[in-house]
Amino acid sequence: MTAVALSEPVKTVAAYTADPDISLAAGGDRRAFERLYHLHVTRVFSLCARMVNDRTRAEELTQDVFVRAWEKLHLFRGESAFGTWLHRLSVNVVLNERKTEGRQRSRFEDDANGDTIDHLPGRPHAPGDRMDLEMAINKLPKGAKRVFTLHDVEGYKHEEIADMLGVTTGATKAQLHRARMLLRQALTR
Amino acid sequence: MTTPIMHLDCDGFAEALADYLEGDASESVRSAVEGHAASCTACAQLLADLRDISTEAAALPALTPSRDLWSGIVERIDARVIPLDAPVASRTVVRRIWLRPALAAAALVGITAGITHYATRAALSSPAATQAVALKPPVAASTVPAPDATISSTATERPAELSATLVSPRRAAQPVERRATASARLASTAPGADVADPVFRSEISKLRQIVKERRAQLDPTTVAVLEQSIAVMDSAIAQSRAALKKDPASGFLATQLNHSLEKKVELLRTAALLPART
Repeated sequence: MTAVALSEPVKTVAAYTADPDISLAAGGDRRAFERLYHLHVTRVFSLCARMVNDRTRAEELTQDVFVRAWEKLHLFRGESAFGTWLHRLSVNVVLNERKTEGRQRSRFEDDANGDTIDHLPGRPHAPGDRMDLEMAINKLPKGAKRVFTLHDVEGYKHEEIADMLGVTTGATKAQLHRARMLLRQALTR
Repeated sequence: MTTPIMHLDCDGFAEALADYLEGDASESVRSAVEGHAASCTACAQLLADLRDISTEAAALPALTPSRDLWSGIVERIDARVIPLDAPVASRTVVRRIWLRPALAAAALVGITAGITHYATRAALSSPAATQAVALKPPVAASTVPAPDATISSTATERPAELSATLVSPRRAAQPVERRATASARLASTAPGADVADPVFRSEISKLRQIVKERRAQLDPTTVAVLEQSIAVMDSAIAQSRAALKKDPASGFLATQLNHSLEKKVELLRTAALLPART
């Protein structure tokens, strides 16, 4: 990215944000962008890893997010926190990924109407166990997992999730309840 | 007036639970849900479990990648050796971009082959005509600013009408600096110069390496399209080079070769920046 192409956006970013690394990165400073990367990578990766079932794929998506962020940084106007902007960008990258046939899907993801998921063997009757919860989330059907991750894990509101997914809030609420019930079932059987 | 008290059984409780947890239930339903939970251990446990799951989900710890991702990111960022005409705005656009190089490559082959045929035939059959074209006065200065002073004879030999036809609207809209850079590259395609000039050689080599390393991350279909497109472009480049050998004074052929090389760089750069497995 050239300094010429970014000269105007840099001013815009600088005018809105107090974090010098954001302005510097928008101006092409890779070291500043690297600092931003280290600051935010775990949150971005966590989102990616929970939205897809494969850590390797999640790592690739995380890289995609930061490459995209580098390209779009000049569009960041500081109207929200940089972390919020980056997180929303991450959600978009994950949701827009085009899945090839049969790739990286668990058998549960293909079961769009499934009303059960595998229970976790050998675990005590204790919903709330974080490790088991993580595993159970991974086994959720795709739609339920996305809504659950975005709402209960990441804290998005139903209106925001509906907007991201292009569905109604009624649909996201139904998916969320379904996800919670499936998780409870998996964690307590 | 008092609100009638609603009573729920376990089924009614289960039905009302989603709205209750989302805060969408009316006051009477809320009371009924809470009333039932107070009297039914199983439903109370269900309510508590669902709340626990939400609470625990919100407190899940951050996950850490198993490897360093920065090197891969910086590699892709660095792939932008030459500024793109337009930033890769979205994955959708990226997908469409794939079609363009393929079509452009096909068009290049057709155009280059036709031009090569025409030019080489003209050169062979009428050396005087070629000479006349080569000796036309320089006109590049009208479209390309100062840096063109360094352009060698081939660049300045371009007839005005050729310059007008070969510069697409997209290229015409490019910043002056970029056109100057392209013109500077053209200098190296001048007669006698090594057409695989260091700028292109370096860029292509670097980009090829990146694409090679990212190969496993890309969709196999995408890789196949990429390889096909590169093969077509290589063919166009080879044809232009062969024609230039026969007619080294032709600025027109040099321009074609330059365009083919630029297209190849553009395609490789796009590939290097592609998100994984699109």
